[in-house]
Amino acid sequence: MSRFLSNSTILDRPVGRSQRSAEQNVSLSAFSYLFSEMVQYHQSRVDSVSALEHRLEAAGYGVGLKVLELLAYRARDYTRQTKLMNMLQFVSTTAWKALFGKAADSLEKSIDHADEFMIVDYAPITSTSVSVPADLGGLSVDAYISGIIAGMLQGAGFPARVTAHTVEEGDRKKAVFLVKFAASVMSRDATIIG
Amino acid sequence: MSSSASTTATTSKTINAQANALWQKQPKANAEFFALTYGALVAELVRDLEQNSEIQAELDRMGHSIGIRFIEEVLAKAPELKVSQQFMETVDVVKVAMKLFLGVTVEIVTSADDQYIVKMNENPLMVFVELPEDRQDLQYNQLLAGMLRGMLEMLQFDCDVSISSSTTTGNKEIYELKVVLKQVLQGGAGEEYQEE
Repeated sequence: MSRFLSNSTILDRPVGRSQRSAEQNVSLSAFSYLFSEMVQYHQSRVDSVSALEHRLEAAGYGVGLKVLELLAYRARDYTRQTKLMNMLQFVSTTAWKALFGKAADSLEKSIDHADEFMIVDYAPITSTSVSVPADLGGLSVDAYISGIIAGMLQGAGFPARVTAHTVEEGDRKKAVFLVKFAASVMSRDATIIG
Repeated sequence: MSSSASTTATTSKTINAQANALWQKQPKANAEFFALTYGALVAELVRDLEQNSEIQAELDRMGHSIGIRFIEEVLAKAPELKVSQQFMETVDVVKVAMKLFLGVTVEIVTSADDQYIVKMNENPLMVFVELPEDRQDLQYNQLLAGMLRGMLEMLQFDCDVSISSSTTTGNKEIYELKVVLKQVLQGGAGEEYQEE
């Protein structure tokens, strides 16, 4: 229904006009089945666990870049994060809530390495319905989420390597996303006052 | 239960109410995240396969794989749905399934004894999507078509499911999936779902 002869593209349509559309849902089953097909597809095209994780990360990376833009656009008081801790807070609360419906369970700083941080989630949506067969031991499909985190950080100017690990805690497991920032980020952050 | 070709207004309302009630209880995931994940998948397929026909075939196959499993969830959550030998009664199952899967209410219009059209006026998969000019013919939503095909197959109906119009090809706002019955399958699986 364009009034003019020019093509109206998707860029002209309002994106998520309101908070309402940001909170629209599909079933968890839909996501799980889709993700399962995605993992199986990638699995059919590689022959090692690390290559599979790499592909999942790459898939997540593009999503992360887009999620960052989307959330930045939606936040009315958006100020571009320049400090490291603020960016990590953004990822572990705002972004996590938008994607998974709740904030991450915790954000931790490594004692041994100043450039390492951990985002913890007890029930990541990607692996709660996945069981990894013994011959693929070590595979973490949460690599998709690692990719998303990495994409977001890269897009915001905080390049980092992000890896997903499953850690036993008592009688339950948790997913730990280890974020290791590039040296340039750490040295830049040290010079920022405030 | 009448076996006439079209659903009456009252039975249609009851099915929608039933589907809505079931939807309230479904665990949810964020629709935009779902759309972005699907987009990442399609982008990967485009990179790997390049030809529209191959990409669509792969999406259809994935959808089919999802459909044959998802139908069990639908029937388990809605045991009052009648699973019968009548093709037209699959309309109710499809309505409930689409609601349970995508949270979308669909309208189904019968176009002949052996076919109907599933109309969705919103499609969560497409929320951020616009196809580039050189890919205008790509059926982005082929996964949904495959899914319907898989579900109907498990109900013993071998069907052709195609996408008859969507905003990416043609300028309509409504997304339509056309279901045409090819043959009724013989075989034992149907009996498991029948009432004792």
